[in-house]
Amino acid sequence: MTRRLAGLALLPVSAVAAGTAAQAFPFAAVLLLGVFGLLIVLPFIPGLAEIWRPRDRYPLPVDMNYVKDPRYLGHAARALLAAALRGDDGPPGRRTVNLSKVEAVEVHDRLDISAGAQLTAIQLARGPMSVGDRAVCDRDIYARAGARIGDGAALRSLACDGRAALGRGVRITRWLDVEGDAYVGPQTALGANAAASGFLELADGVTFERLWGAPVRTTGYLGPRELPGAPAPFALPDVQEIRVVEDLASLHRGDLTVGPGETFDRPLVVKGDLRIRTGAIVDRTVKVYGGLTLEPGALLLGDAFVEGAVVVGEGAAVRGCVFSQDSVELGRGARVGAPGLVKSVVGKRRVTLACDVAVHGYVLTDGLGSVRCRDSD
Amino acid sequence: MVVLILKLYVLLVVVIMAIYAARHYRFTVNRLVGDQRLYYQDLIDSELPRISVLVPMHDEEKVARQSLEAILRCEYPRELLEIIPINDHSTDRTAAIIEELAARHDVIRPLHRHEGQRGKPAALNDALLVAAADVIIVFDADYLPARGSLRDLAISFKDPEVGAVMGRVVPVNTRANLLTRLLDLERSGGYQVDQQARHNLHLMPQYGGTVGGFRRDLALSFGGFDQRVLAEDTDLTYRLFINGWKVVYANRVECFEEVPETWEVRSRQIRRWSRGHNYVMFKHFGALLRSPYLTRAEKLDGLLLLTIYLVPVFLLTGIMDSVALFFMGEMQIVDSVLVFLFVATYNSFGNFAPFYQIGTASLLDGVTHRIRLLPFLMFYFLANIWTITHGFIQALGDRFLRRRRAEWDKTRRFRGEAPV
Repeated sequence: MTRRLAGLALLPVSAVAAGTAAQAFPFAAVLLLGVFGLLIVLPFIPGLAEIWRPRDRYPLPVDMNYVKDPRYLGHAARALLAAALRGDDGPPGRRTVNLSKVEAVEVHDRLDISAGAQLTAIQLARGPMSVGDRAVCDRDIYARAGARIGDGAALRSLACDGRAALGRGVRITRWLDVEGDAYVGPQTALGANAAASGFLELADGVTFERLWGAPVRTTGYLGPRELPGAPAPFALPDVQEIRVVEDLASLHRGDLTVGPGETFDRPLVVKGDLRIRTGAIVDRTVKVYGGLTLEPGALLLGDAFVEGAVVVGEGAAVRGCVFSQDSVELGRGARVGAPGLVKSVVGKRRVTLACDVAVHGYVLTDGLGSVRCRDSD
Repeated sequence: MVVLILKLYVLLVVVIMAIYAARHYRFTVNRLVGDQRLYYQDLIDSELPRISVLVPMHDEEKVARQSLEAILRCEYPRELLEIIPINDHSTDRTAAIIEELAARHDVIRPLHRHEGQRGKPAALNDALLVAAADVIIVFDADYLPARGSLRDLAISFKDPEVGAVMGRVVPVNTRANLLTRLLDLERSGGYQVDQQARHNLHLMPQYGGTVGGFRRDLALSFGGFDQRVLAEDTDLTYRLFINGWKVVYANRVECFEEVPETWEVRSRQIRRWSRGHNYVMFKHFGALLRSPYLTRAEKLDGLLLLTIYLVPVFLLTGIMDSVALFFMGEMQIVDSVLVFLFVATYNSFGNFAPFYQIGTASLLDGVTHRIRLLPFLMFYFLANIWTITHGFIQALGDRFLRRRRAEWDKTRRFRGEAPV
C-alpha cells in the first residue's frame, strides 16, 4: 500500500520527464488540492465529531446550593449515614448500605476498638466509643456520644456527637467533626478539616489545614487531664488618645510604625510594612502590601488584609479577621476575634500557633498549619 | 511615501498583535504554574456589611421570576439585605412579576421607572439614590446566583481598598447550539485564565457589571454612572483604579447566565460592548497614564485592556493594508532574517495564544472534550473583527458628535419560565 502511494506521488514527475505534462498536471493539481483540503479540514474533525455526537455539551457544574460551611464534611457524612440507616433501630451488627457506593457499616451500642485493631468497615457507635492505641480504621467513624482516640491511632475521619479527646500522634486522613468540645493531643495530624461546635483545643505539634471552633485554642501538652473549660473572655480595652497620623489620607506609601496613642480616622492602606508597637491601638482595618507586625501587647481592632507575612506578638490581639497571602504567626497568648463574634485567620502559605492562642472562629491555610508551643516557650 | 506608511502600518499591527499574544501567554502560564492569590471567600466573619442587590430589568418576563427567586434563596442575614428589582420602562409582565414577589417578601423593594432615559446606567443611578446599603451587588435579569454568592461577594468589601468585586459568569444554555458552546469556551478563557491571572499578578481585573458589586458612596462620588456610556462596568473599573481603588476577582463565585443563541443577537451584543468599551477608552486613556495610584504594570495592563476592542480594528485595517501592498507589488516589507523569524514565530505561536488560553481554562475546569471545538473559534473571531470594528466606528461618533446619544440595546432572552 505504502509503495503504491509512493508510486502515485512520483507519477507526475515521471510524466513530466516523459513529456506528458499536459495530462499529468490535472492529477498533480487534484492531489495537491486534496492534501491541502485535508490539512485544512483536519483540525476541525475532532470538533465535528463533538458536534455530531456531543460528549461535553453541558454547562460547567455550579453547585447552586454551595454555602461556605466549615463543618460541611461532618454534616454531610452524618446526613448520608442517617439517610442510609433510616429507621434502623435493630440490634448491633453489620449492614450493607448504599452511600456514594455500596459500603459495609458496623453498628454498635458501645464501641471499644482494641489496641492495634484494623477495621475496614464504617463504624457507627450509638453510645460512647473508644479507639485503642495504634488502631487503624480506613473508613469513617461516627460516634453518637463522646469519643476517646488512643495514641497513634490512624483514622480516615471521625464524626462525634459528644466530647472528643484525641491522644498523642493520632493521624486523621480526612476530617474531624465534633458536636461539643474537642481536645487534640500532641503531634496529631488533623487532615484537611477539623471542626468543633465547642472549643477545639490543640496541643503542641498538631498539624492542620482548616480549623473551626468556639474558639480554636492551643495549650501545651499537660498529660491526661480533664477537658479544660472555656478561656477567660477577651476584653477589648477602651480606645483613647485619638490622634490622626496622616492628613486625611488613608494611603501610606512606605513603611509605617504606629506607636502608643496614635490612631486613624479611616481605614489605612500601607504600601510597605506596618509595625504596631507595644501598647499601640489601631482601631481601623488595615491593608498592608508588605508585612504586618503586632509587637507584644499591641491591639488591632479592625481587620488585617496583608500581602506579606503577619506576626502577632506575645499577648497581642486582633479583634477582626487576619488574612495573609503569605503566612500568619500567632505568638503566645495572642487572641483573634472575641467571644460572640466569628472571625477568621487565613494564611495562604503557613499558619503557626503558639501556646495559649485563641481564635474565635476559623483558621485556614493552603500550606502547613501547625502548633509550636515549645519554640515560643 | 504612501508605500512607506503602509509598510510601517503593517509592522505596527504585527507588533501590537505580538504584544497581545505575549499577554495571553503570560496569563496562561501564570494560571498553569504561577502563584495563585487567594480571594476573600475563605473568610468567615459574623460582621457582614449591609447590601442592596440591584437587578435592572427591561421586558424580562421570561427570566425575572427565576432570577429573583434565586437571589431570595441566597443565604445572607435578612436584616442586612434588600433586593431592588428595577423595572426599567418594561412593557411586558415584568412589573407584575416583581410586585407579586415583593408582596410576599419584605426584602424586595421594587423601583419602577417610567420616565427618563432607559438603560442600565440610568436605572442604576436611580437605584443608587434609594438604596439603603453602602455595598451594592448587581445581577443582570437572566442571572442565577448560587446560595452563597451574596456573602462571598460582600465579604471582599471588608478590605478597605476594594472598590468593586467581580464573580465568574458561567453560560447555562451551552446545549443550545454551536454558538453557545463557543461562547462558553470564550467565557472560560476570559474568567478562569484572564481575570484570575490579572488578580494573581496585581494587574487590573475588570468589574463586569453583573455578578459583582461596588461601593455605593464611590459610585455616587463619581457622579453616578455616565449615561452616555454603554459599558458602564468598564467605565467604573477605570474610575476606580485611576482614583486608587482596586477591583478583585472571585473565581469561585460562579453564576449562571444565558448567552445569545443566535449570531444576530450576539453580533448586536458585542457591537454594543465594543461601542461602549471604545468610548471608555477615549474617556480614560490620558487619566490612566497620569494616575499616581497605579504601578507601571497596572498602567500597562490597564492600557492593553482599555484598547482591547481596538485590536480587531487594527487587524482588519492591517489585512486591508497587506492586500493593498500585495497588489502594489510591495510585499517585501522588511529585508531582514530576524524579522522573518519573528513573523514566522508569531505565525506559529502568536496566532494561537487565545486558543492556548481557552484550552488551559477548560483544562482547569476539568472539562476537556469541549476543547475539540477550539478550531471553530477561528470563525467566531473572524466574525467579531467586523462587528467590533463597527462598534468602534459608532464609538467615534459617540465621542466626537456631541448631539449623538447612545441608545441602550437590550439583549434578547431565550429562556422560558421553566423551573431551574
